[in-house]
Amino acid sequence: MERLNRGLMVSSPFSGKNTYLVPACYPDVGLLHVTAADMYGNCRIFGALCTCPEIAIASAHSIVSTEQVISNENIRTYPNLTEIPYLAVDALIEQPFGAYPGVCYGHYWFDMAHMQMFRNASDEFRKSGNKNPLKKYYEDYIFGCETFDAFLNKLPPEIFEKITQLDGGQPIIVD
Amino acid sequence: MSAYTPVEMITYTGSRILEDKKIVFVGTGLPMIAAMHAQLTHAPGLGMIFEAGALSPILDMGLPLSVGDTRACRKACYLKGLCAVFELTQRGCADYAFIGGAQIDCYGNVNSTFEGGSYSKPRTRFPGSGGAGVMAASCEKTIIIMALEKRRFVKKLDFLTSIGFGDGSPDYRENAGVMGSGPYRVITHEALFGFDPQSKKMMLLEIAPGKTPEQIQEKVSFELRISPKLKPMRVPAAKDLKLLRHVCDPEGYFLTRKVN
Repeated sequence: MERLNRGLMVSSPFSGKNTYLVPACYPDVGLLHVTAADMYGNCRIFGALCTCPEIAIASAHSIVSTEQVISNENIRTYPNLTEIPYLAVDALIEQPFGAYPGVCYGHYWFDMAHMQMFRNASDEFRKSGNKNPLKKYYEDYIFGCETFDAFLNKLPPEIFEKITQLDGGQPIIVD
Repeated sequence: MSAYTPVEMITYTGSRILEDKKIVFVGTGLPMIAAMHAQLTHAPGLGMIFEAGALSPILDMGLPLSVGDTRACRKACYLKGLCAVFELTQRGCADYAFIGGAQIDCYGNVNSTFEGGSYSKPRTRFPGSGGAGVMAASCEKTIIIMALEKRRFVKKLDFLTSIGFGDGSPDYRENAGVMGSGPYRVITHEALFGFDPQSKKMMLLEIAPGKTPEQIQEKVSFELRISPKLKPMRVPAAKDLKLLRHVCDPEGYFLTRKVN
């Protein structure tokens, strides 16, 4: 049975004011992509953190992909910059362009054309019920790719330079 | 320069009601453009908060396409995450929440979750709260953008996503455990609404040139209060349209969309 709203109004034991509580979230698995991490899973994130640190720490198991692996010495040089500690990370994958077609601060911007292609296919399915364009997208770019690199290899090679330029060289500290 | 569009009127009106040296927590789309326009005109000291974690960025790389776009981080004064910026709002640091929605009632409660049917089987499912629910519950004043249509200005919401004045009772917000003084302005392309301080009901403050209060009432399902100081809405000047079209949103990501 679906429960729409599990929040609870309580009287604060300190102020006596009405205070609304919401239950904590305990995901089984967290998946996220970071700017840099060392081999132990200490993660550095540039740009907005959104809820990435919370996701990693709350999840029973966290799988992290990173643009690049950096040295533990570098992590220890700037410990303030570690946003996710190694003990929250179960698996780490080095995957350049791992946020594609999304954005990764300091590396690359969105590939708007690719996102629009996916969106158009989704919209057509939603509006007309025709699932063929969306099915083709999944066949071409998801099920037809053994690895993430295989996915990237299907894209026009010039796209990587373009989205890198669109980032505009936002400064990050990775060495 | 061609005449302004409904979306440009909404965005310009949003800009004009943002005061200088205040902090506005912006949602994706028109609120970001309105805040940019305000910064470029009468409110250079206006600071923006983006829910992904940025405070007071300088958007010199152009318009972010969403509140999660890295361009929203550009030259920010403070850049953390969602919890950090919502903590700022809960400490009373955000003057305005600037949100959109699909339905609104006379007390400024907003639905951006679904329309028709039930939660499990809606006729139309919308994107949902995003940050809007918490923004409306923790920023000082809420500004809402809405298309002026009878099916959107409703007597009863299909779902309450973002809290306004609730049922209009004086202590509603305090009893609900939320902060801030609540709904402040509702912006449409033909009318600007506020709220009557006593009854907490929506009140017509300004109307677009050539429109009458009766015509606005026609598009609203509940009975509108009319301000005794009813004014015409200011329309964007050529220089405002130039800024909106060529500086704020030159690609037309949001300004070329239709008001629906």
